[in-house]
Amino acid sequence: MILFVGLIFAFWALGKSLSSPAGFDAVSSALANNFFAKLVAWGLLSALAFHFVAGIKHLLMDANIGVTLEGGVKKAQATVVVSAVLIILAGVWVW
Amino acid sequence: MVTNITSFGRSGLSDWLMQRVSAVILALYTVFVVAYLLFNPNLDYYAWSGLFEQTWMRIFSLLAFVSIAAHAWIGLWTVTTDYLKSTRLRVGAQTLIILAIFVYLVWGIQILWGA
Repeated sequence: MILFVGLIFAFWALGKSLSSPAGFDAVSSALANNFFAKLVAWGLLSALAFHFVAGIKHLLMDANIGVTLEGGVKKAQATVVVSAVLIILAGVWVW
Repeated sequence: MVTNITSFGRSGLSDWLMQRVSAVILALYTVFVVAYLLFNPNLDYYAWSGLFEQTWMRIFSLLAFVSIAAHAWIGLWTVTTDYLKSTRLRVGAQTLIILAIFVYLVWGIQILWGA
């Protein structure tokens, strides 16, 4: 749901940044200076990172990789750890 | 067997496959865009709009937007059928979601070809 609603900001930023040089500057300066814009960008990237990693876990299960109780626990733990790392990296990127 | 009329492909197996194909397309698009932004830290309007003027980038982006439409439909259909037990509420929510998906799709096409 967060990603689906968050698409509004992503489409807005893409459309605005491609509309004109002034539009591009508006988006890039918002991302450089505006705390709220940074927070939205980080929030969206975080939700996307977790969804991305959890999605890869699903594809691994579809491919019958690690479909055991032990493998399931390991993959679930790895999903949380890898997502957390990506979310921190996304925060470093945004700020 | 009752065929569910609100799912994306009217078949669970079709939706399952479509969800995975669109996932792989969206993963590739995400990795590409993030890598492009990371490798071009001093990006300006002309390089950015130049990228989106390339035919291949427009096709790749349109493919990603269509994948978002299918992926969001199937994903949110699953959520609404799991959690909204009232038929009226569920079909209402699904109608709103599908309308929003349509708006996103038109908006995306306008961004790619409208400017």
